[in-house]
Amino acid sequence: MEELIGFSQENLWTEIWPELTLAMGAILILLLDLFLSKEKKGNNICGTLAVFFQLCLLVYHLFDYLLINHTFDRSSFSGMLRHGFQGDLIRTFFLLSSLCVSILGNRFLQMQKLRFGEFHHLTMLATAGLMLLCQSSNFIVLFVALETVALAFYPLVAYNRNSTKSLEAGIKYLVFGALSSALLLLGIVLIYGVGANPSAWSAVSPGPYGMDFLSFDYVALLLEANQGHLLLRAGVVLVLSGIAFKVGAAPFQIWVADVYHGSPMPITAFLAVSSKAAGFFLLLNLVNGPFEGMSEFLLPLIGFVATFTILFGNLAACAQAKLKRMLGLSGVAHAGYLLVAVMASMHLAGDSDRAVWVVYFYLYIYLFASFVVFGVMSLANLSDDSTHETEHYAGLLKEHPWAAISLLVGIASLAGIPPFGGFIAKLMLFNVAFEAKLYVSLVAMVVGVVISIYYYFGWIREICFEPKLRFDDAPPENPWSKLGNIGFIKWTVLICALVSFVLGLWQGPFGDAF
Amino acid sequence: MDTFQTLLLGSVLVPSIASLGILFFLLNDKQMAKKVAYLAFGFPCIAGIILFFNFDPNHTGYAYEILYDRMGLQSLGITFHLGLNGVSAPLFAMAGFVGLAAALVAIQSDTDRLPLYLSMLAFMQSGLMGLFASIDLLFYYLFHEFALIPTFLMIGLWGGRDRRTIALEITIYLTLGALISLGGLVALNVMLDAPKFDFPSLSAAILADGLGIETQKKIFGLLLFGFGILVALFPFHSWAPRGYEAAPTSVSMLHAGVLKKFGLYGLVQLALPLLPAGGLSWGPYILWLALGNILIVGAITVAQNNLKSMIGNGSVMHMGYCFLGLGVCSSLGASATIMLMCAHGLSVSLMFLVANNINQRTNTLEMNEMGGLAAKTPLLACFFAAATFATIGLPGFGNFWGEFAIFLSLGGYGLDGSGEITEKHLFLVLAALGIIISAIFGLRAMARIFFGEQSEELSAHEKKSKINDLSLAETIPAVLILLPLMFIGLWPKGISEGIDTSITKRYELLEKGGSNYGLPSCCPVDQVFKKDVNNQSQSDAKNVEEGNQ
Amino acid sequence: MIQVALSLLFLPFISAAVTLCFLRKHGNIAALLSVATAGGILAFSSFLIFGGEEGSIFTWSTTWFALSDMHLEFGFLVDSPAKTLLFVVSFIGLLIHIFSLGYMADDEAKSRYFGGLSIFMFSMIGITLADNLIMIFVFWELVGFSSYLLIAHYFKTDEAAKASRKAFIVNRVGDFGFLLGIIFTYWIFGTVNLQELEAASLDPTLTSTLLCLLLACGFIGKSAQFPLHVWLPDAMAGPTPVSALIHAATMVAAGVFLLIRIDFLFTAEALKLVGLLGSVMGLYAGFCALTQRDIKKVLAYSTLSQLGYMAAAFGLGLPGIALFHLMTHAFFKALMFLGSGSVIHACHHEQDIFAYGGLRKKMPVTAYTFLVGVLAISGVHFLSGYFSKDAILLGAYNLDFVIFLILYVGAVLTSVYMFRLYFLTFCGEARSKSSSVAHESTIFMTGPLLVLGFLSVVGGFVALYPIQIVEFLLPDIERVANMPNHLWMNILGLFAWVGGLAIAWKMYGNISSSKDPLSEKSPTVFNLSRSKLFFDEIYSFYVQRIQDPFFRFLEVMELLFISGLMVRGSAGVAALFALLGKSFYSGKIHSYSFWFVIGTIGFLTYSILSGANN
Repeated sequence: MEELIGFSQENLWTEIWPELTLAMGAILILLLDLFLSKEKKGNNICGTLAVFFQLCLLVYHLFDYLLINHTFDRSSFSGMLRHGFQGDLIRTFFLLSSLCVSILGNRFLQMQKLRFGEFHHLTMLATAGLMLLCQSSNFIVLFVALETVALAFYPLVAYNRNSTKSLEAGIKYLVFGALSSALLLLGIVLIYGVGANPSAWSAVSPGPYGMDFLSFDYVALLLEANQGHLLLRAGVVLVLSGIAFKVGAAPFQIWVADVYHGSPMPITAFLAVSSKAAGFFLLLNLVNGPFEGMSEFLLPLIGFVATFTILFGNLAACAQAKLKRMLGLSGVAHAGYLLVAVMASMHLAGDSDRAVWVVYFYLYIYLFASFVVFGVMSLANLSDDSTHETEHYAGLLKEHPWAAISLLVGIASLAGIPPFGGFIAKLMLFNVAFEAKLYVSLVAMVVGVVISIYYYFGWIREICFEPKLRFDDAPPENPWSKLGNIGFIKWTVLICALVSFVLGLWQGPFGDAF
Repeated sequence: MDTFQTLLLGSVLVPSIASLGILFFLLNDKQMAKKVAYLAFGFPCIAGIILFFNFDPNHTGYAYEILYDRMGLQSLGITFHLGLNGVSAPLFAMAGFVGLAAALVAIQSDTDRLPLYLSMLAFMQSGLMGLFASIDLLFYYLFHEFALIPTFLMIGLWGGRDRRTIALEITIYLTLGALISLGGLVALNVMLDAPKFDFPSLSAAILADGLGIETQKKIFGLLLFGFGILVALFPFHSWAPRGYEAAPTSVSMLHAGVLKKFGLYGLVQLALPLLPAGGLSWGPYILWLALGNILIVGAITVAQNNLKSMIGNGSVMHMGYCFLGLGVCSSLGASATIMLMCAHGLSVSLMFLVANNINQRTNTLEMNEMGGLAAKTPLLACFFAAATFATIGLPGFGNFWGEFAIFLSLGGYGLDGSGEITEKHLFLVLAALGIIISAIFGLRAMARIFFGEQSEELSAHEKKSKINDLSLAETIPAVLILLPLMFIGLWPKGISEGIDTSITKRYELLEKGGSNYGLPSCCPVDQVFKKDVNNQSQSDAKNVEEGNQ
Repeated sequence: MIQVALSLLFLPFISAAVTLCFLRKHGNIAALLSVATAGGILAFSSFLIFGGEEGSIFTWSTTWFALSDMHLEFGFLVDSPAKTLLFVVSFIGLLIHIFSLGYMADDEAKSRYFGGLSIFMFSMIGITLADNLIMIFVFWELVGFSSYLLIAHYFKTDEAAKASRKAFIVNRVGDFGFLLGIIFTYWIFGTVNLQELEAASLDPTLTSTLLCLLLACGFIGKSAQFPLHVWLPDAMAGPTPVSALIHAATMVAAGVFLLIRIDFLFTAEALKLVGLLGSVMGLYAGFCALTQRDIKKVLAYSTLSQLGYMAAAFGLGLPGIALFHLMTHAFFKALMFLGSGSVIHACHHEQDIFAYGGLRKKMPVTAYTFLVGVLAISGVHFLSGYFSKDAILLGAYNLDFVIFLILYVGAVLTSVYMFRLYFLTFCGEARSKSSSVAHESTIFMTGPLLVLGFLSVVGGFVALYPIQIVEFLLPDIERVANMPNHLWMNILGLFAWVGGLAIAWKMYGNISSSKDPLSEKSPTVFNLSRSKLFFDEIYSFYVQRIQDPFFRFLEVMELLFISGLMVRGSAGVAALFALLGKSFYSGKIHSYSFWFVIGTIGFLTYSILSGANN
């Protein structure tokens, strides 16, 4: 027992209680499912339980965060993980997202008659992994967490085994995920190879405590001292390419449309929100931590990637008829905007944290807006949810005005139309980009936003206006009647829409932090 | 908060609250929705009148200020800050008038889903009132967008031919303009780093620090093109006529009459006084583009057959005068622009209103298919004549004073400080040609619609439905617009005093020139450009820039 | 005094407002109100004219519009020329209002008509009283507007619709120059106040011919001088009393009044040009009048011609004489227009003089008063026209012989076409049904005719007027009176009117066919005169063949290049790229993996090329 306490205190296990609790919960759900699955109602119980479990966790975490207020930075597990105010924000983000995914998932699973247990189990595990990933400060933890997340995502993407689309998406995600993990690993190995070989460099000693060669602090020193080192540069860009895959930045964005399209709706949302956000949190940690010394080298590269991503995402999204593909590609464009903010944070490093806060704010706004949109989409009675097209939304305003109006809010927020949160996020983004003098990226952003109006408002147009005259006689099926029990989703959507709206006019604590 | 501040805040809030109220509770109760709409639009109109007449024209700063600085973006200097000065007070009142008239038109039009229509219109009205009442720049921009979104929805829901396409097209176009101007605003915010992001603080900051010539030019360029697109500056005007043709009448009235003034207001209140060197160097380009509005779009207006697209093109043409007033970079030109903005807002909305009345009677907007209508509808003819003559700048209506003062400022611009007629008076001569062009299209329309023989199409239509003259209810909105228009026309001093007070002082920097910027004073533009060609001023400019920073 | 001036100005405005707002359906009340207003105007203006001593000048002003350094005043300047014009306007205005009661008795839109007249009176008085150029311009435009309104009274006819538009637009062309002139004046002299300008113009470096000519554009437009004269004959589409009041007696004369107001600005060259222009107009219009068949058009061309005389007088440096002729012309031309109105009214709106004939016996009052007018305009000795016209001719003879020659030929022509008009209308036998059943008009119409006839006879005796009305005329009259060659001029004048009378009698004294004898005797002259030297054709060619196609061309260009190439084009480019972006989505894993390969290679290449060492 003594040893156990010592083990716990040394490694500060309490610092990661949300992750631990979530993982425990995941296992509990799986076990529960094992026993309850025979009965028909077992499914519902599992689903509801998962939702309430996560809700409680979120609420408790928020209380913990608000009342005890861990604002100071600290590390645990011998510096493998780092926690602080930002870490708590990140946890809140992932818990929120995971909760919403579970809520959306319940309806999806019910409609597709799939098993509930594994779904929630995997979702929660992935979330726990994501939370760790974004607080890691060591490349080993980073990679392990990343793989945990990836392994949970592969089956989730292919979860709808009745659908060939879903299976195909799973395969694609698996192939490209593995490829990108391999590239990332190669990058880590290159950095380690140089860093751990004393003969390869001499500028910096490992420090008084014998720093871990893969810890962020050590790598930061290493890169600072060896900015021109070819192998290190190669390692850094390979790590970045792995992250670019996660966030869907060009040229590693090509999987996005197909995988988003095939995945079950909640998982699409999960990919779009959590997975992408994780990439950005990680990227922020890296470029403002270990890679800071290489900023000069990285900025043009990221700048190019950002510009290309913005333009590609928006242009390709214009031509998509299927909504999920369009949303996926618009997500690519958003990744491009966020990359600009990341660049600004590199430029303004040490000057202010503004740019970092912009990324956080933007991601939160993106979360709320995305779950409004995906929430409403998941209501639709379509046998195959990959067939969503804008035309299906013609009847929504009449059948469910609340859903239609929320959807409008969500789309408008994504498009960055005032007075919704998306506008403020973009405004802040413009502001920091200007401060960082990223004029080219600014131009690309303006062009991108203008193009995005085409597809976002094209969708709004279908929701609000009377449908275009059709010459073939079959109007599209109306998927909005007889929706059944949608209480949870309804409240999720409404709350997210309300938050999107309120954050547009009153940013309160967010703005203060900014 | 005293009564007047309450009125100011109320005229922004009442319409939006009414809008939400209708949207959530009264969508199926037409009568009640109408009553709420009277309140939603009547309040700002009355408040506008009271605030305007209570405003002391000799007051230099803002009056009735309301400040709430816990919005969340204080670190960017963004606060909720309302108030009126001599420039915004008349525009604010004008927005109230046009809004009420537009609402009356909407209420009478008895369109389907009227409560929803009124709700959106009220939302738009709230944005319009807020736009002119905002001192804070972000909210100024926000309120503009508030008003713009309903435009998209209303064109799509109640618009005319091709509404789906046009709604999307103008939204994309206007978003481009809005984003470019937002870029300019953000640039100002970042570059000046004033404690607050509002008109007075930025003015103070620019006096204290100043910006280098090159910076000023760039930011001014952003603001000019952003706002230029929103105001339909040539050659970025093509959205306007199409949009107005497709939009339902109330929306055309509010958009062409009030919302479009957003960009001009920004240029007058913000860009010119804050970026004098930018204004002086862009001035000649503004003048040339404005001539494009007046002459080219004017000529195109003459060639129109459709009444609404003629009005739309005509309004684009008259925006050219406003830009001329800006391009000369003088306090006279800028205040003349404000005069014209007020008057034009009223006259163009009157035009759209009357066009709607005509359309209701003839069921067409093609002028070839009308004729001789004056015999059936003398009162309507009377109002159309009033609107037309106001538009073409007949004295007695406000537009005349605006146009006249703009011509006068162009005359001063051309003098070049020498007291002689110079080649720069070419701008004046070409611009004044506009008074002939607008007379041609205005009177052609008058003659085609109201004079002469009744056309066969119209006679055929008349057999189906009788053509009546305006009813009393229909004249009310028209009178409502006509009254302020004639007030300005007959007693221009009523609004010119306040405008003058708040413009003249802030334009001192611009008028004295840019002596602070190493530019010669008043109309120094030619020299600046000549130097630029020789690359001589580059080093001077740099020196000054360094000196300023 | 100021209350009087303000009431004088705003009385008709209020009357018009009341008429248009409340009396639209009550034509008779509107008519009475309007006539009462005209009476009120006469009363107020008498008060204004006779309220001061001889030579007194009444001024008053208040700020009207001020922006930046610019201050515009709303002010009155009642000096000697203003008093003269005020007398003419209010007096003839009243007569014509009364005449209208009879003439428009059956009209269905009486209130619109009388409302328009009131607006006109308001604007005309505004011009008369204005103390600065901008205020003049304001009312200048407003008279244009009221003229438009009244020409378009019979809007159902295409003719009126076109004529009203033409009048306004052509006037706008003139105003375009006038406006430029005012703006230049403002910037060069620093003021537009007439009295201040007069003081400032003592500095000769400030005045310039260009400026004068720009200001004179206003005169050219409003007084329908060459080359903007085309609107006036067409404007006869309006009701006849309107033609009498606006297009003969007052509004068109306002142009001359403007010149007189600003004559101190004029340089010698500008004066000469105006004089020449005026005299040519006097000749040209007379020539055109020779072959007109429409009774009102004859009078319209005659008006043009007489306005030319006034301009010539002004150009000769005799503004007093110009104003004198303005006054006498107002009497006899109003008389003739009203006479023609009486005839037209009697003949059921038949206006072709070849369809008249023998009306003297049926409507004697009209005929004899009309004859007085004809005699007066022809310059028959000791009638009103004789004094003013011979003063002009005498002045021209002594000051500028070229102008004299032109004017003299014009005088002969005047006599010819005027007597032609008289003979064709009132002598001989009735040549159409409508004229054979004509009968004398009511007292409303003949009353004003008699008054005007009286004035046309005695209006030339300056001594008969109260001094306040004619004080501006006296110096110039005196100047002309002291010039040599009086007798010679009397003889020449006699020749002119007697010669004209003889020619007219010989050709038109007694014809029965409705064909113009001139067309047989001298087809060349006839056709040339009929063609009016092709001005209308040139203008309509310009409008239809050059302006409109060019504007349509611009519209097409805008569609092609701005809406098309620029807007749609950029959308098209975006669409192309969108398709390109879409085309990458083949759905095949191996094609997707190329992206990864290319991306990785690209990233690595960048890291190598970006200046890495070892």
